[in-house]
Parts: sequence; C-alpha cells; structure tokens
Amino acid sequence: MLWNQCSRRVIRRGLLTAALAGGLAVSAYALPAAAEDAGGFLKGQTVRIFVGYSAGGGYDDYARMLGPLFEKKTGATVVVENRPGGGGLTALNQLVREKPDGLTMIMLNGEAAIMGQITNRPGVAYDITKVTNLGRVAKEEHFVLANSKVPDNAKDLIAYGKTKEIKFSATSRPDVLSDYAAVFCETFDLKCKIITGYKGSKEAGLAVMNGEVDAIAISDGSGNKIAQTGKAKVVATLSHNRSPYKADLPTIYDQFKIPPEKKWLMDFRVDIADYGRAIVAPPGMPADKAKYLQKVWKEILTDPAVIEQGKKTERDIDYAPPEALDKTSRELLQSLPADKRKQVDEIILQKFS
Amino acid sequence: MLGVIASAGGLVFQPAVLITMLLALPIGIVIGLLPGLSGITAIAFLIPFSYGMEPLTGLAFLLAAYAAVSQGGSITAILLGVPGEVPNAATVIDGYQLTKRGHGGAAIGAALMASALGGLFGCVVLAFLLPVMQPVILSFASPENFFLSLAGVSFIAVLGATSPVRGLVAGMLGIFLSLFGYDPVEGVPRFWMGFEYLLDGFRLVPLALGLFALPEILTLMTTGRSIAQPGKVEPITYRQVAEGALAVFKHLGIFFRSSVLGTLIGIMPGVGGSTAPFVAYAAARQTAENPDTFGQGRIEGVIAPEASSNAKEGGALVPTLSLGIPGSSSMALLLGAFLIFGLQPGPDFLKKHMDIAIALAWIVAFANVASSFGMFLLSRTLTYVTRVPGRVLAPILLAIIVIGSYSTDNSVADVFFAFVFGTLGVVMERYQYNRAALLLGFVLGSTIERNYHVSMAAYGASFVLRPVSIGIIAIALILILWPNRKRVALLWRRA
Repeated sequence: MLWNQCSRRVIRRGLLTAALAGGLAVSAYALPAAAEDAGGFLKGQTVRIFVGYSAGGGYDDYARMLGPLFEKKTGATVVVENRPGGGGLTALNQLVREKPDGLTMIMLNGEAAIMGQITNRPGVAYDITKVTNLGRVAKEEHFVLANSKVPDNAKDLIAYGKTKEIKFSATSRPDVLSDYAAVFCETFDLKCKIITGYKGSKEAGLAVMNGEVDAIAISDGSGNKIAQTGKAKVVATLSHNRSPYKADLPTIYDQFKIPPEKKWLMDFRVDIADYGRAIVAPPGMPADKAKYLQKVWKEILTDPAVIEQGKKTERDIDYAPPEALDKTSRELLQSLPADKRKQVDEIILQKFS
Repeated sequence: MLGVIASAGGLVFQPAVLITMLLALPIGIVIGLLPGLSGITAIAFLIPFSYGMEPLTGLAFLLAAYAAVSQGGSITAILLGVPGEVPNAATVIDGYQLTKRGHGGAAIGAALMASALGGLFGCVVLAFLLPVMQPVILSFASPENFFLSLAGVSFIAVLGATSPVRGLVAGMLGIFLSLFGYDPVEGVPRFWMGFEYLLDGFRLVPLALGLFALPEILTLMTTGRSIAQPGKVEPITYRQVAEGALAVFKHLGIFFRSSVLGTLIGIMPGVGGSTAPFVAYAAARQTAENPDTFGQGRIEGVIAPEASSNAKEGGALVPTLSLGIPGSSSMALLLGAFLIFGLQPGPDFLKKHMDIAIALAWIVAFANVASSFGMFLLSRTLTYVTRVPGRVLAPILLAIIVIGSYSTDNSVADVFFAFVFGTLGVVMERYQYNRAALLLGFVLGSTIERNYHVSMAAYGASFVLRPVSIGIIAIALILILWPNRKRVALLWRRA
C-alpha cells in the first residue's frame, strides 16, 4: 500500500512536470510569434463597425466600402452595424461603453460629435477627446448656394444681406447646415433667418430649388448636385482650401479680409470640419493594438486603388493621421475660452431663428 | 420618345437582367411575409450582393426584390391582421375581416391584382412624365406637404368607422406618441426621461407589430380557434382567389382613382408614401354606397389601398430619378445603390440615361406583375394558415414578432416596447378604438409639425393661400362631406 501511494505520488509529479515543461515550450514558441504578429488578435475574430445612421447613407456607404478591405488586411470578419439615433451620436455613446479590445469601431460623423459636445447637446455621453482615433476617412468643404431670388456672388450677396433678410434652410440646430449658415451670417453681420425643420439635407436643398428659402450652406458634394439642377448657384466656399468641385472659386478667406473679432468664429467652425468622417475606437485601447489598427487604416486609406474607387462612387477619401484628429479635438474643445464658448452656443443654437 | 422606350425595353429583356430579377423576387416575397421586415430591409440586405453586377442588372436585382416585398406585406395584413409595412395597415381594416369571414382567398386575389395593376399604372405614368416632371415637383413645397398630411389626419375620423370621435382620439394619441424624442425643428429632445432609447422617440416597427399582432396572438391563445371563424369556412380554391382578382375589374373606378392618388402622392417628395393607401381608402369609403359597411369586410376596402400603395412607388421614382431627391425612405436607400453603380440621379442623369430611367420603370412594372403571379401560386397554401388552430399558430407568430421587433435596430428595448404597444392594442381593440388611426397619427405627426413650422417661418400666415394648398383643402373637405352632401346642401340653402 505504501508502495502504491509512493508510486502514485511520483507519477503525479512526473505528469505535472511534463505538463509544465510542455506549457513552457509552447509559450516559448508562441511568444516570439505573438510579438512578430501584432494583428494576431484580429485573425478569425468578428470586428463590428458601427454606423450612426440608417443603411444607404454616406456613412454606411463608406463603412461597407472599406469593411472588405479591412477584412483582407487583418483576417477578421467585418460586420457593419447600423445604429441610427440622436443624429448619429447614440452610436458613439454606445461605442465608448464597449471594451477597448480592437473589435469595435465606428464610422463617425466627427463634426456632429464635436458640435454636440461643445453645445452640451442633451443625451451626449462621450468625450471626443478621449476616444482612440484611428484615422480620418474623408473631409468635406462647404459651400453657400443661393437661388435666383438673391444675388449669385458672395460680394453682392453680403451687400444684399446687410439690409434684407436672407432665408437659409436647415434640419435642426445644431446641424452642419445651420452651423455654417449661422457662422456665415454672424461673420458678415447679415440679416438672416435660419429655417429649421427640413427632414434632411436633400429636402433642405429642394427648398432652395423651389424658392421656399433663398440659400443653403451645405457640403460641397451635395451642393454641387444642387447646382447641377440649374436652380441654385455656388456663391462661396467656406473653407481654408478650395473645393475640388469648384476649383475656380476662391475661398471666403481669399475673397474677404475678415476682421479678427469675427475671424475666430469662422476659423472655429471651419477647423471642426478637419475632423471630418473618421474611424474611431473606444477610449483606453492598449497602445500596441491602437498602433496596429492605425497602421492598417493608414494603409487602406492611402492606397491609390482605394482612393480611385472612392472617386468613382463619389465617396472621396482624404486621409489624415490620428495625431491630427487628436490635436483638432483637443484644441477645439479645451482651448476655447468660456466667453467664446458662450458666444458659440448663442450663435449656433439661438441666433437667426 | 418611342425610340427611348424601345431602347429601354431592349435593356430590360436581356437574359442577365431577367434571371437576376427572377432570383430577387422570391427573396422579396419572403422578406415581405416576415413581420417587421420591409422594403428598406430588402434593399439594405441585398446591396452587398449586388456589388460587381452591371449597373442595370444590379438595380434590377434590388428593385425587383423591393417591389415583391409589398406583395408579401399585403398577405400578412389580410391573413393575420398584421401589416407587413405601414401602408398595409389600411388593407388590414377590411382585408382581415374578409379572412375572418372565410373569404381570405378572395381578399388575397383582389390585393394581388390591384397591386399588380396599380404598380403598372404608376410605372406607365413614370415613363411618360419623367422628362417633364421637374417643374411639377418643384411646385410642391412645405405648405402643400402640411395640408396633405393634415388631410390624412382628418381622414382618421373617417377611418374611425362607426365612431369618428374614437377615430380622432386614436389619431391624436398617435400624434402624441410621435412627439417623444428629438423635436424635429429645434433638435431638443422631448419626454425622453433620461433614457437614451427615447432620444429618438418610439420606433415604428415595434409600435406597428405590437399594436396589430399581439392582440390577435392573444385572441388565438385564449380561444384556441383558428383565424377563420368556424362555420364560415369555405374550401380554399384558386377559383376563390381568381374571383377576388376579377373583382378589381368590377370596381374599375375605385381602382383608377386610387392609382392616380397613389401616383400623385408618391411624386411629392416631402410627404412619404404611407399616406397614399389611407387617402385612397378614405376616398373609396366616402364615395361608396353604404359607406358604414366599410370595416366589416368590403372588397373595395382592399382594392383601394393596394392599388395606391403600389402606384406610389412608380411616383416615388419620379423625384428620385429626375432630381436626385428620394420620394420615399426606400428610395433614399436606392440612391446609395445608384452611386455604387456609378450613376448619379438628377437632371443630368435623365439627359444622358433616359433609357435606363425608363428601363427601371419597366423593371418595377415587371416585378409587380411577376411577384403578384408568384403570390397567386402560393395563395392557396398560404391561406391554410388561417385554418391552423390558434394554440399552434400563436407561439409561432409570437416568435416571429419578437424576432421582427429585435431585428430592426438589434435592440432589446424594441421588443419591450412591442409588448407595451401590444397591451395598448388589446385595450384599444376591447374598447373599439381604431388602431390604424393611431398608426397613421404616429406616422404623420412629425411631418405635420415639421411642415407647419417651415411654412409659417418661410411664408407667414399667408401660406394657406397658395393655389395648390387651396386645392388640397377643397378636395379634402369634399371627401369628408360627400356622404352628407344632401344635408350640407340643405343647410346652405336655408342659410
């Protein structure tokens, strides 16, 4: 009996030792492999890309266009999840609550996210300065368009607006249409009325075409489509750079010398556009995973073939690195003095109603 | 023009396009039969499968599936009392009553024929009006959208059947429920009570499924009986379905009026297609003999909404193709598909690709007719559902409703609210408040609010004096007062 107990003990120890040695051998083999393959955490996994709008819109198109490319590079399976709500911001609220394990991202409307946070929009539960930026996908310049009821060039339109009311269309406040309209009107001291309530930018554009309103401030791609109907003309480009859709039209900065006490407001709104449409992950992601994902997205978004494909489908790619997005969001949100923040609230949310 | 139409026909009748459409039709029918899924779901689901196809083939694939969905939605509305999409809620009113009386086959036949011919009508109008529609579309603005939506709400009193007051109360409750969430004008959330879900208000799919499906499921569970009442059951035959189909030709006036209404409303981009079937139903009811028998199982109550519902899709393609402005939510999705195929709808598109635009009209027409024929072949089998004992059918339907509610936004909260609205639906049915009226009020509430605000801001109070607005008000008043025209004339003479 004693012999049996001893032998069992020996056998047990031997098995344990063998198991330990085997485990060490396996991990010794695996560790260098893990160190070499930083993206190994994605292989065979399902990656979700949230989109804060219904299927079929621009953000959805970008996510579905880029998803297969991400799959090819990483070996993951990409699922695009439409999570509409809150003007695209509910999805961001949900994203920041996800685990920062690299398996969840969002195709983000950066401008709406920043404006929502700056204006303390009810329901905002994120801090855009804390998310993990992975790269900007696209950026849009913005136009002011006007129909035949008002002058069709910036100089005359501004002169007109000093004494007569110009009606702009928008969906609600804040939104991209009303923001730019308010900033344009405030910068040049115009008599304006921003009429909110249109269902979307297409309906707001239709209102300019049928003469219900006089003008609209809208993204250059959408503005170009409205201009092609012949019912409205591009009057100004509200950006630091000329739009590829109207390369012959100087920017508002080139056309006018804007006084400093107004220029900060135009700069502020135009700089928000630098964030654009971006791929973003939850805050607190481990540095190695973040670095890997940023590298993958950079490769995808700077690939000439991808850029060409985007051009063909009118989904232009205009990459900016994550550091640029970090800088933009922090500068905009943290460096604005309290009195200017109050002015922004008043102009963006209330003035010109 | 004839040359363009012929060229379009040549584009459509290519083997690749035809085969693709035939593949898409059963998918659309299945999606339409599943409560909670809609035409938008079909397009969103199928877009990735269309990558790599030639433009017209890919668009044919999507449009065919989309056109087929509404046929499936009509079937569930008639056989189960559950509208497949919001427009099908008008079909439930009389269609489901016909099923309970054992005439489900006839109702299906009428619905399929009215849908097929209504869709054809809309597409013919589309093909001829496309080159000239831009000025017509541009003459409709926010005041016209407001008055048309308001007319839809006033018809709620009509749809209240025996009690206009209860119809109005139900409609007002629907409008109240539409107020939850972000104010469409100022962007400030209302009544959200700190729940993120309510920032965007209640969702349409859980509301519709809960309101209509759960009371019926409860009835099936508690009685154990089948949907078709015992004692009123006839043998299900194709002959019954064919008789229903032929009924459309006996009511050609209703069919044409409903198709015209559907096409016109579809052309107006700001209104949304949901109102068309209800307006058509109300017009049919108000101009019929014995209007009080509507709601108890009249075949005209199926023909009118179904004809207008499919005609509106041809109309919705008009602003989509001619201006690049979607005529409905589904068209918004389709616009995205156009871009994927490298096509840009708008005035330029019509100049360069008129033949493709007309070909799309052909495709929608063909899909309507083909899917109706497919559903006709399935109709006898499907009608047997109404003979399944309630204790067997109810759990299956319950599972489908839960999945349908969840699948819209992958949200458990949607399932919860489906049951909340189901409770409301049970109470409304018990006290005879019109559930379709609540649904219409919910759908129209934000449209009315939005368009009223814009109209006042853009035009001031004089927006009521716009010619088209006055026309809409006049037609709505005539429709509402028509059954009492003799009494009104008498009062006028006395005054």
